Amino acid sequence: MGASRKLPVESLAAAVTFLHEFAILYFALRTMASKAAAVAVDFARIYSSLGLGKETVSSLQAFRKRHSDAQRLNNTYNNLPTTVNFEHYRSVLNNKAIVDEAEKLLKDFKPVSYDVGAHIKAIETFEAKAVAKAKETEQKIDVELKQLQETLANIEEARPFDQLTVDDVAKAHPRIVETVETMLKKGKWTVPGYKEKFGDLNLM
Amino acid sequence: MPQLLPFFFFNQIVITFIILFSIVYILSKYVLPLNLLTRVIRSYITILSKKN
Repeated sequence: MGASRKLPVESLAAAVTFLHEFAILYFALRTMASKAAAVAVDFARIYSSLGLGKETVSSLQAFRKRHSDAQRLNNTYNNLPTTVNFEHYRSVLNNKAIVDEAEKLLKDFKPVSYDVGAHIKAIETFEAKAVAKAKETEQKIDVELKQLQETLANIEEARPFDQLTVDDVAKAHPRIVETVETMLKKGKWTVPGYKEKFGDLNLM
Repeated sequence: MPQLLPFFFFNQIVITFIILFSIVYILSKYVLPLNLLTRVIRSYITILSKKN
């Protein structure tokens, strides 16, 4: 009669918490992005006010660190000089011809141009797909979150074990009532093992 | 008429049988099945609570 079925209350609660945090983070980032794309994301507020879990915060911090590292590297390479002072080499080196040759080579050098349109197009289609998928996931998560909340509310509102009534159990498991009816038809008026477990009030 | 004397107790006999059969009927139809159901459910939820 489903006696060994166990409700995964803890994992359910953890799932609800995770989905809750994910949804909070998602909506917060989305709101910030939509309000002003140029304004930096207020991470201090995200860490403190949204009530995120430790793992979420640490992964968010790792992501932020990666981003700032990449930005720093980009700045460093942007600030490096891109011109060569040939006059200096002319004054230093005796062999002027090689300096002239080097200057000519450098002037003549043209970086090969690639057609990045196809790549950009691919990236854009990928982005569109990703956004569509994210929206789909968001809707899915919303539905799932709702269901999980319902289940959680159901669990929380369930009456404690010692307040169950016969009618509750009979309603939840109509097979018990059927079993009792067949027992009565067969003339069995006792439950095997009941007396050993609960005793009776017989004096004799 | 002394030969009619036993028939003066007929009403008592009838009432007694009526009460007896109605008690048996009520017990077998309503009281004891509920009792059995309670016992079965008590055993069942005890098994449940011990396993979990």
